[in-house]
Amino acid sequence: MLVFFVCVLLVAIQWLFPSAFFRLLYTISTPFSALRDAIGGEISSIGTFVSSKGSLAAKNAELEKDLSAINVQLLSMQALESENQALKNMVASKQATASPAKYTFAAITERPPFSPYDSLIISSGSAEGITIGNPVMSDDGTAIGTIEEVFPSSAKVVLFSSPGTAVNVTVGNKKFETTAQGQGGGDFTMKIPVSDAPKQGDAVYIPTFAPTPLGVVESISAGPTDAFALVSFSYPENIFEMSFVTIDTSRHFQVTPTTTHEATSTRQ
Amino acid sequence: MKQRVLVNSAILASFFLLPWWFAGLLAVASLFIVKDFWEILVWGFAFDIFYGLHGGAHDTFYWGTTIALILYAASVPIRKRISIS
Repeated sequence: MLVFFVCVLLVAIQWLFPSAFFRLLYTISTPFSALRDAIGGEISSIGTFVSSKGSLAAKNAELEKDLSAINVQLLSMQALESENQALKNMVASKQATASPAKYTFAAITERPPFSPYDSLIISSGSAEGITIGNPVMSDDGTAIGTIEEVFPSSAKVVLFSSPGTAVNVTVGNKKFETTAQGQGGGDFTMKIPVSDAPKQGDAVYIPTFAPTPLGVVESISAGPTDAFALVSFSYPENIFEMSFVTIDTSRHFQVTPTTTHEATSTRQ
Repeated sequence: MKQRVLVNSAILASFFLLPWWFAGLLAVASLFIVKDFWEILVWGFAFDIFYGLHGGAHDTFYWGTTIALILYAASVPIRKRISIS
């Protein structure tokens, strides 16, 4: 009887006040999130002083992060070089019609592996002009996801790598167009005909957000008789270590679940 | 009563401080520690509300609430069989 009463009460409150429970939970989570970040920072800093192995590991992680950021910059530069002329023409025509971009910064309060579904909870919401569908960028400028739910002072972001998500991408210098499927944990896979398969290290772009790459090809697997190669890639930045994101409030990017195998974008 | 408060406090802390699955495991274990642990429904529902995606292109099912309901229902005969007070 008590269980039935609890169920009815929860459903009734959620139905009458759809955002009330989330806002309550978000308010409770804020000090916990700050505590988690503080504890995490303290533990890692103690480890670097006490253990030489720990300090080397930390330094290694830092260098890897720097290297991935440099790789992203390098890929961006290469793409810029090859497309410079075309972009100049595009920019000239877009400047006449497009509205100026507006960006909002937000801290990440919940991220994988603490949250499931490859989603983030961020500390900015509709009060900062964020709306459903706004693209979300990491601090190196990579578009990593879109706004899925908005509350007055917080929002939920679904990453492109979320299982059940598909995005249209172009791969490598051949600009082969295909659909990348999110696999969770910041990873993607896509099937490409063996004849058009990219090389390891080739950049993958979402055309709307080019020249900043979505990721870099990490592995290509195909048997000798296979027509298609399974290509895996992941975000240049580690999603488990991100602290801040940028939200482009002037654009909307719609991602559809994998059942339809489509992803579209619009500019408003 | 003291045990109930302690268990729920531990779940609350792990819900916001640790990976989501840890709080889930703790809630399941609590079914066999605390008698008539109906709070698992609240935690399942809280999981769906806080982490679930609703209203946009992705609409996740209320897995937390559903699994909590099934586990709660299943825990009653299991507790009787394994003679936990």
